[in-house]
Amino acid sequence: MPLIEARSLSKIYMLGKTEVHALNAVNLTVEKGEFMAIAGPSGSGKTTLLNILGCIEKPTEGSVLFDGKNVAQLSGNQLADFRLNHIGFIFQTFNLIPVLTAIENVEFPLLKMPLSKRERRTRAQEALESVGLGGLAHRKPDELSGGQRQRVAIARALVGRPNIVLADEPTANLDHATGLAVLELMSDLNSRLGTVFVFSTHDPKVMSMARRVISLVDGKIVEETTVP
Amino acid sequence: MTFWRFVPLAFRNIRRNRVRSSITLAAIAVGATALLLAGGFFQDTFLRMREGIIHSHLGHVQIFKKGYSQYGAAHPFDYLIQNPAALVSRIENLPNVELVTQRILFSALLSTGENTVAVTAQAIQPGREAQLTVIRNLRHADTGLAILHGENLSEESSFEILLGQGLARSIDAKVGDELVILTNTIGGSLNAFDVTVKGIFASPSKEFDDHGIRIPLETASKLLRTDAVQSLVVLLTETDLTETVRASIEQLASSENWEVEVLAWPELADFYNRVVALYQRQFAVLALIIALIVVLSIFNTMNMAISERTREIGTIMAIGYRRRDVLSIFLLEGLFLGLLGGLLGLVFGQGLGFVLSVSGIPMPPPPGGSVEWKAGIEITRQLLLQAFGMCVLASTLSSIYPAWRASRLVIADALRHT
Ligand SMILES: Nc1ncnc2c1ncn2[C@@H]1O[C@H](COP(=O)(O)OP(=O)(O)OP(=O)(O)O)[C@@H](O)[C@H]1O
Ligand SMILES: [Mg+2]
Repeated sequence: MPLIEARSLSKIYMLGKTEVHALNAVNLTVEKGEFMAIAGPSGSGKTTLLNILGCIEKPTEGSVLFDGKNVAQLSGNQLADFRLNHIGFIFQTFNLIPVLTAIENVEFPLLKMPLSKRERRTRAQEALESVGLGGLAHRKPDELSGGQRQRVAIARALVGRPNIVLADEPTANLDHATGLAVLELMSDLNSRLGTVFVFSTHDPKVMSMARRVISLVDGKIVEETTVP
Repeated sequence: MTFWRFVPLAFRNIRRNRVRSSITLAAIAVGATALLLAGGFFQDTFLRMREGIIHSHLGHVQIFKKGYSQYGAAHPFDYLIQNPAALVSRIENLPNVELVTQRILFSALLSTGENTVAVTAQAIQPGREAQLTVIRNLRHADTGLAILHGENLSEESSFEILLGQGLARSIDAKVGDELVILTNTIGGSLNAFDVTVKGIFASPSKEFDDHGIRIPLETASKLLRTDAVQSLVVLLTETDLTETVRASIEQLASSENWEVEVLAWPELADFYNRVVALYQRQFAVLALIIALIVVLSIFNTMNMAISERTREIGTIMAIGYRRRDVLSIFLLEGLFLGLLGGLLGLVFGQGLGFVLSVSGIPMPPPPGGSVEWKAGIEITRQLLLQAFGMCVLASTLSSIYPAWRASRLVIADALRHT
């Protein structure tokens, strides 16, 4: 069974009185263990698609099956719990909580889980070490470089041991080399842990690291390439 | 419960925008301080007024012949306590009773030869009455009855009187003047004595100042031709014990079959009661205004914090926090602002209150009074609780709407927010 099966997803936003078709009958299957990219020009619907796969937004039409289960039936609280336990998020602007240190940011999702303080700390420390930042645990985000911040964000996304990590343009705010390094880390974690990564990007170099790339234009999948 | 796990986050978010949080905390603290000072000032006024009227004339408990409070005004001499000395010695033996003094209040005419006026004469026992007027438990407190000229009556005084300052002015009488006092005896015949003005007093009551005289009970007994008295005034060691002692006097009276009624000062201090009710209403309005300022200041702070942190709110909801958690996080921030600001306010308020109490606030004569006085700040535990509670309640309540708004954000929109 695939991890995610999205069937004929459409998303219509109302912008005043005009309808914006952000997604148009998108079908997508994400297999376990995948490392895939969503490419496409600005406004093509990448963020919208990731949000729907991440159960942050509901599609106007179509359905998302997670492990064969339709998430449309879940309530707001159930969706929150589902995201907490099954999905990790990485953002273009890192979105760390500025008042918390690196390790506290990583620990933050665990506060919602029935874990002791010791367990939380241990797991957060392990996650930080897995992204190579074990030594910077007590730095605040503004004392870290962009690349380091995104690594903290990756650790935070992984600390809850999700099935899938969704990353919306994770390298867009990083210089090229740093971006590639972050992508390499993600790729490495994908093969080490088996966690699925789906990320969106404009950058062809970054795209080329994915094993599968789907290209969106105007809310439709226009191309799908798989690296053999 | 994960709620308490957000406590450190809430604290750090308060420290995040130091300037804004400081201003908000200052607003809350100033609010609490204002409430404490205003409330403490009112409390002090109540206390002084209370002790003033108790020590100037009311005493803590008064004992009359049964029926006096209902019919005594029309027929004062029909309601006299016979053989008062026996009662006095029994009551003075009760615990917490400091002394019992005897009085008669009667109307008389006072004549200088040129002027004759109607006066209210208070026949008192000078030695005991002098002990009654001492106020020991207040800073800057004068005795209830101030002697402006001449001297107070003493145990040895007979055929000597004190005049209220307004009365002395109106009949143009001075210390040492010889006056004639004329009145009905309890038998109904007329009787007159020559008396000397020994002193001129100012009391907290302008009414009494303008029409009152004081005369030794011994002299009055001869003038009225009776050994009976109208009231026994009981002074206690502490005002707070009033109800306890009243109860024990009533018990004693019923076991001895005394035909008396026992009234405590709150029942006799109508003016005081009305002033307290009025001031308390004013204080409530003031408290409401202060609470409103605190509410607006926190409301503003929380709304700003939430606008600035929109993306952060979207992020924590995306990673699996429930809407209720967001609500909790911001309510906790409001609560802590209130707790911190309230604590600061308590410290400030008490410090300032102490300084003001020690130096004393010069005040004009109170309504119905004629003596200038110094006010202090009497901060009671109840007041501290009220001020602190106001801060915590106002800040938590005013955080509800902003926190609720934060918890209702559309996650995707909040994440796109720049
Ligand atoms: N809340 C919204 N209201 C109205 N229109 C929206 C809303 N969110 C997205 N859109 C529109 O939907 C379309 C798809 O947006 P989306 O953000 O998914 O594209 P994107 O591929 O992520 O673009 P970018 O590369 O700029 O991030 C765009 O035309 C956008 O303007
Ligand atoms: Mg986008």
